[in-house]
Amino acid sequence: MSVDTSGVDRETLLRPIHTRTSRYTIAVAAALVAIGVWLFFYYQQLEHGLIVTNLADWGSGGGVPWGLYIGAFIWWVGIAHGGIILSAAVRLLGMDTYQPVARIAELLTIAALSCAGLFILIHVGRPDRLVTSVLPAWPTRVQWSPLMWDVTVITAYFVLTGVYLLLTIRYDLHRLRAQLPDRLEPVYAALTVGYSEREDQVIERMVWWIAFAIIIMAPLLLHGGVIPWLFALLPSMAGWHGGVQGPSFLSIALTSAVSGIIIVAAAFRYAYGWEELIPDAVFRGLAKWLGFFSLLFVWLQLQQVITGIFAAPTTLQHATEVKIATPLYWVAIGLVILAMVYAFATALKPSLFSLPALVGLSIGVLVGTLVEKVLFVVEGLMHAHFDLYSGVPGAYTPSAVELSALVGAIGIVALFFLTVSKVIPVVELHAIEGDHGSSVDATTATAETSNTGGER
Amino acid sequence: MSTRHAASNVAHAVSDAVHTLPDELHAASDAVPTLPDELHAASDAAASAAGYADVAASIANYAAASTASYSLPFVGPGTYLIFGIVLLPVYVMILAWFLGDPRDNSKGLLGIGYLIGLTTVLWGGLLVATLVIGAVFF
Repeated sequence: MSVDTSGVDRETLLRPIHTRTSRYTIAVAAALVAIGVWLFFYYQQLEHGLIVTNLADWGSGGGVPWGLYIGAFIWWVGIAHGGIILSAAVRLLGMDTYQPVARIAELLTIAALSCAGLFILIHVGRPDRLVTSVLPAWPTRVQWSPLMWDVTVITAYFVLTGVYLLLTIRYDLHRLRAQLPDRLEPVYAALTVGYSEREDQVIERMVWWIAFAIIIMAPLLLHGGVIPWLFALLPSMAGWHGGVQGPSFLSIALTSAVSGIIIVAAAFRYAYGWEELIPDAVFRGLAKWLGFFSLLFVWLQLQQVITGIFAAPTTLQHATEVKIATPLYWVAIGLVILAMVYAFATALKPSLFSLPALVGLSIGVLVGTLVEKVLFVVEGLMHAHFDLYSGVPGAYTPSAVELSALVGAIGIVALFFLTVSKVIPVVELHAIEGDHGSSVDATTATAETSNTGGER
Repeated sequence: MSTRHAASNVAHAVSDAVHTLPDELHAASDAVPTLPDELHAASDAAASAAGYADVAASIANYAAASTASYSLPFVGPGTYLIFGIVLLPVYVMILAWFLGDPRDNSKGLLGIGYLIGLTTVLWGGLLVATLVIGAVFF
């Protein structure tokens, strides 16, 4: 099934590239301010070290050297997942309903993964060590260290997503080149290097296989594998250890990812009047996925709580009791349940659907999943086996430096979308062409002239 | 393998040698009754040394059993897990680019170029950032 976008022309598709409004300028300024705030604090961290955060070392903050930075890292990787998985599902499973938001989703993957990497970079204190220490150690340590597995698979994921985008964009840029700004000609020439319409079917097949690789690797082996293994393989941390972390991490990732797509797609629809290009049907479909993934999220939380408090080993029971005694944990769960209930309610009674409400609840889900992940990291450290940190003074609270990084990362994602939307179409041409195969035939004649020399 | 055994043997030899000391010291204590406290103290110290030697032997054994394989390239659980399982879909993808139909080897190579290029850009960018940070802060 696909949504009806037959009335949408190419000019509508290219509206973000061709229009410049004061709202756009304000949005860019706001993003830059957010990034500037973070850079101000980050400079302090670089100058004085991690002591300016509450993550200094084992001897302070209740013994929590991993906090918001690591929680946010997991959160951003989770958001990144939805993007490419949704796009891959469009290609592999024929879920054409979501074609209008497929590229937005791919871009969200790249932006969110970059932010995930940024948080690792910030977290290591001296960011140069990522190159001077991690890279030289990689050939031998990748055999044993889950941290190295993480670096490896995230790099692979980022690269696959980038290749996916670079290959799919060729079709669109070639056909829309006449309507794209002249000043960016070198960029378009580079992105369509060696393009020939004979390649369309070959590229489509290559992209299908990238989607195949991603849809297996990303959910099952990255966010349901390598990332939870950073925690689940440590028997010394009662709250982290165990096989349930794989599916649990994945459920949280998918829930936050769908929320991210809803928010970004709704922002574009609102900013550019894209009611026809991204109709309600797309958001109604995404709402159902949000409800389903939220249900999985809550179900897996239930699994952890029940196995953690009913005749559990002493330390696991203690860690679980601490978790369920934390009010913020229930705020997080409540926000996700709220979105789930709304999603299922709109499925049963469509008249209840409201896009602003869905966006608001999606923001709530993002807040809830971030809180859950930070609590998971922090409480897991504080309530380990052997009670290592009972004598460590203080309690961990994210510092202004850490919180500013979160603000800055959101600014980076916003600036990324604001910039990219001025360069390439953020909705695939296929979305308004209908069937991909026929669209290739239909556009062959119009593009024949430009095909000969690759020039306009 | 021989290095591993040699390390282990040396550690055991040290441990055994230190273990023999307490008896000799007790014998010396009996023979010279005027100096019992000092000799008993020496005996206790020797016993402690034996304990440390046991720990050292354990560490040496552990190191002998694991260090060699840690330092060799491409062995260990991560090797099988990451290169054998997690990246398997990527191998299948690349093979499919060049083996299935319709295919075009030049486009396949374009894909490979993108894979290598993006990896290089990603880590090369970090290298540049490292150099900049090193110049500004350290």
